[in-house]
Amino acid sequence: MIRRDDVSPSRKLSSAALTLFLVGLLTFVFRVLAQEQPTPSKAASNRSAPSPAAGASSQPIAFSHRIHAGTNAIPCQLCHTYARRGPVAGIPSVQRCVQCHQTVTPEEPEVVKLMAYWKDKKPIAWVRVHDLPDFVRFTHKPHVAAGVACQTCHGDVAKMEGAVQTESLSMGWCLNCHKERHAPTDCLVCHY
Amino acid sequence: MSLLDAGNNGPLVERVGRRTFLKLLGAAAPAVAASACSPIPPERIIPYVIPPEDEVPGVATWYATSCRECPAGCGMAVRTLDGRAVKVEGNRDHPVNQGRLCIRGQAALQGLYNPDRIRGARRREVMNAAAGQSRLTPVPWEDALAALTDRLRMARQDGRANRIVIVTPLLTASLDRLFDAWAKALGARRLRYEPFAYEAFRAASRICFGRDGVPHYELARADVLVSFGADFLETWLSTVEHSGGFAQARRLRDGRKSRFIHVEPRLSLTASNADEWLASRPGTEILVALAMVHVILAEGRSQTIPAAEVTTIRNLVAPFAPDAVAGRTGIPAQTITNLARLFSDPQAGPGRSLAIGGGVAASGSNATGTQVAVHLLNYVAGNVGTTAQFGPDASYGRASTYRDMADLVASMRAGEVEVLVTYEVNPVFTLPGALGFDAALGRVPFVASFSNALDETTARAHLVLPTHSPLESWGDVEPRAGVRGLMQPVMEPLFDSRHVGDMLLDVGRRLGGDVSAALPSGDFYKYLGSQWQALHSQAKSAASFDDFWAEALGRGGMWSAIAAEKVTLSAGIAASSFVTAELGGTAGAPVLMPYPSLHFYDGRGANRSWLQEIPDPVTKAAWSSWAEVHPDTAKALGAKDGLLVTVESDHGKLDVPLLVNAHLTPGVVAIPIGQGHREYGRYAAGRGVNPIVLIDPAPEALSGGARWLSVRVRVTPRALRRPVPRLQASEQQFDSGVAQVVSLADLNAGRLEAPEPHRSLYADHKHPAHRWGMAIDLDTCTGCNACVAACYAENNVPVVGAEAMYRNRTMAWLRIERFVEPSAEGSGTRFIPMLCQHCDHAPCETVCPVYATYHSDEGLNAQVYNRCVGTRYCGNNCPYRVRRFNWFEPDFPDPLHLQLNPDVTARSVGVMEKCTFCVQRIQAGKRQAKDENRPVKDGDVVPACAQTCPGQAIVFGDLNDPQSRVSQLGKEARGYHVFGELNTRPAIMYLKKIVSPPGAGTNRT
Repeated sequence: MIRRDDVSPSRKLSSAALTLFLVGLLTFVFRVLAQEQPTPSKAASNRSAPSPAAGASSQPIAFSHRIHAGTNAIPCQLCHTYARRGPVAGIPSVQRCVQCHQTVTPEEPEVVKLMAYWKDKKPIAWVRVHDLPDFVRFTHKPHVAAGVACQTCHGDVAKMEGAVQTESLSMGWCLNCHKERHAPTDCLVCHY
Repeated sequence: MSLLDAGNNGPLVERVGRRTFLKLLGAAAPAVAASACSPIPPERIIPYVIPPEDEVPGVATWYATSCRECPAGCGMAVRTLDGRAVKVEGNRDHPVNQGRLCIRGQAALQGLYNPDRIRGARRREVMNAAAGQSRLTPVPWEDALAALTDRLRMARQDGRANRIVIVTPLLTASLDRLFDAWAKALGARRLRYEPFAYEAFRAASRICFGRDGVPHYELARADVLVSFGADFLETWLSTVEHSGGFAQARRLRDGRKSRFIHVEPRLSLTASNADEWLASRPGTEILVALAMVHVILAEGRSQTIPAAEVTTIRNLVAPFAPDAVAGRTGIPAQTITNLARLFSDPQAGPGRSLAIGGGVAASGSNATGTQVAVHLLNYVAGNVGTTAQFGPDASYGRASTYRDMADLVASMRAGEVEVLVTYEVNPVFTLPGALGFDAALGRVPFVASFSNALDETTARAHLVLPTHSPLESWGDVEPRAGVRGLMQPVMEPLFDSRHVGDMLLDVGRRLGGDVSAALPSGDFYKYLGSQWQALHSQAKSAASFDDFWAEALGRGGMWSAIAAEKVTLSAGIAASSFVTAELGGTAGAPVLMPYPSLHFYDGRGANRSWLQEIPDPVTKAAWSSWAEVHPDTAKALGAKDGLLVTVESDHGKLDVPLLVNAHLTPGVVAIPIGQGHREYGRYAAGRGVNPIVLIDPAPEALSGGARWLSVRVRVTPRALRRPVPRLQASEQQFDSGVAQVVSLADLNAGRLEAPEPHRSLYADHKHPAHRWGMAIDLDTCTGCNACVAACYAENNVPVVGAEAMYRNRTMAWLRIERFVEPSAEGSGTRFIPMLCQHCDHAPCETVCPVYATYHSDEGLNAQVYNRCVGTRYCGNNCPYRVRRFNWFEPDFPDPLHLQLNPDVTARSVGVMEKCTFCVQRIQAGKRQAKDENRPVKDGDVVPACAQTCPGQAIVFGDLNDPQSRVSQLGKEARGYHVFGELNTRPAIMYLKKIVSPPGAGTNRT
């Protein structure tokens, strides 16, 4: 039986509310126009050079890779434990950080922040730095198994404060490496 | 009300001023456009605070549990990713379904992620007492449970505990015991209500064998199967189990195969799969069964029964010689005689055949008589104890009867029920309208509903206590003696709901005193554990309880073989009398057949968008209700297909579009059950009609069952065209040769045309490592749609809705086509699953201007979404019509989006998509093999459709491996390619359906 959904009664908007709403929109336009350059769309930022938003300052905690991976030479997979076991490398859990920092430099201001998260049992919402488009099915495990060094894609993290994207992570960039190493280059390896 | 005349103070334009308004409107447009281009906030990664052990993000964890979509109790394996369930499959180790699931089981996920699930407890608040207006408003759990406790306490204090009634569905095992204990502690009445409770079946078992039970059937062992209306491929008893057994018996072995004859007025899905469909007059199936018994005894073909019993039965069936019944049933006497002979082949020995009865055809006033006749037929052929076994009885024997529900309605109406507690039942919808449950509910002062969906009954409740969905719950099920399946939560509860067992125990404790003392302490999980501790001591296992429990959880339960018990014919059988069904209404008017739907069962599946969207396998209609009539009946009514008609009985009336179906006994109006919900959610509410309102509410006299087949109806055409959306325009294939058949005789004699050799101007593709291919056996495909639902679930296939379906749109990657070509060769219906053929010479590939579709070196026809620009050339050039274009952005309303498989890209608007042979599973299989440092084995990669196929008709594998099952099947003489003459060289090999002419035997050598 044909049924068209009833047109739901629209909300009664008072004129004041509507005006406020439209003025809000206008303000927004001006704010956008005031920016000198339009911000690149998400997909574009993935393909182009390192994203500027990825510095340590934008992260909820100013975590330093330099101190951990550089000065203290902690192996990557001690914290990014899932890299050899699954598709994502995994950001360490709060628990993993606390295991060391209970005793190691608990007085550092950034570590105090960490301890606050732990006390509240709240997760840390890190800003994503390496983000592939949703139509790419990248998985870490085979890359780690094939002996590709973490630095190949993630740069010399040991010298960075916050992680930044150093490679373009574009399809051509992936393919160059796949070709060099005689890894499969069929579209269906990554796109499905 | 539009924006322009909103508000109470006159049109908005007048108040703001026209110029100001236009200015504002003009300014709004670029603002909206600008906001569409605004930067997307950076994505966040939120890791665990404390990571769960053994859990790797992005790696699936599987949990064994049990399906609760119907009482069949199939075992399930649920794939969870990052804490949410994304796919359900059958549990391979489970004795009931052996790794397979039906369409309803596949859609269980949409029960969990039902966007219309009730979130948090609700209590009815009176808005306007004078006008009788009230509504359900959110209330804290504490208040809700206190409200129920208070009501129960009040009723009990004044010694009116017997005025408390608890209605649950047919529960089994621990939860059933807890409900019983709760009801007993309160002193309340309890009912186990199932709309399809097989009352007549059980009554017949009592009459014939003195045993109130539903036997276990072994369809796999039956060389000859005769069904009197039993829709065992749709809803009858345990469909997945029976589909599997049926396919096993049907599979060609040494040039022989089983034979299946179906007697029913309508060509149902089950009837479509019969070698012979005998269209009976409604309510006369009993005569066919009795005439068969008559022939078997008259010709001395009865097996393994004493002479005294032969005499008793012969006297009973004396008036039912084939000649005497042929006129009344509409089936020729010779056909019945031949059928009886086939059924009781003395050379085959006893127990090689099976008769089953049920469905709407055997649910009239003579339902018990029909089932007695079917039992007798099995008895004289020596099938009782072999193909029909008492002992491993189905749990249905414990369901309340329809008469119990009718009695409940009477006491409600008389004001004898003070508190009604319902748990996941919907009697307002499933009981006949004329029984007056709806009105009687108004006389009950307090109704509490444990339910997670706002169905018609829950919408009338005073208190709504949302329950966990089965996939969030602990529990166990006992579908038949000897099988105890476990249920475990596969994820954290999505919403603010609670386990019904916990709520019962909580309320029990709040009541205190004797109630609290009579109930176990702790929560339901603890109670479940105590039940299994008892099983552990019974099992006398050497393992500790913890090991025993962990093993049972991993396996999905525990099961043991139960031997068939010997039953003897009751002496009381001699008093049986047999009549045809009585039908109310004007003599000669069309007979109403409301039939249970493959998709919706009794209506409980109606709010699942997959079940609405996937077309019904027989009519190919979706998202609606319809009334099927024979063309002759339509002509007599003066109505055409698509015309709205009023169907009216003495008990109710409804308006429904007519659907002309040639495969129906003339003078029958068939309407599917399941639609016509007033409530129940966005996909179900206000859609279609509920034919249950038309039937006679009086129960069947002998068994107390509902009489689905009970009325003749007045059908009045209205001057309104309301065609239903149908996804296949014609059931003819016009010599296209899509679905092919071969006769058994030709096959055995080797008379098959050899396919033409392929010639090509192009160089052949090279497939160095693998070449993936599929074989689909049309002889065991029953058209049950399970594969289609599995594909929707696995591949994030969007739902387009009814409006789009009117334009013949669908996004299904896999569809079942149905063709009917009656011929001398035999059964006319052919089902063929149609999906991307992954052609070697694919017409789609050559026309893509951007190389979005190409041939992979593993033989896959690849579709790269990010490269696709949406020219749709490929879809237009595909002869199989299997490519789907996203005209709109797909919509997965919250929380349905949580079901999306993260291993498959969710496509967006403007992109072409189609079957990928589940390439994500191919990649996973290859990766696994690589991890284990071995080559890919046959069976490592199983696409979702092949995985769930109850008939195991779909086989997938590597054609480069000569030992793989798919390569072996490819050598079969029955193999053919659809449109082979186009030289597309598909990777899918279909095996022709094997047919044999009416009256043929099993070709036993």
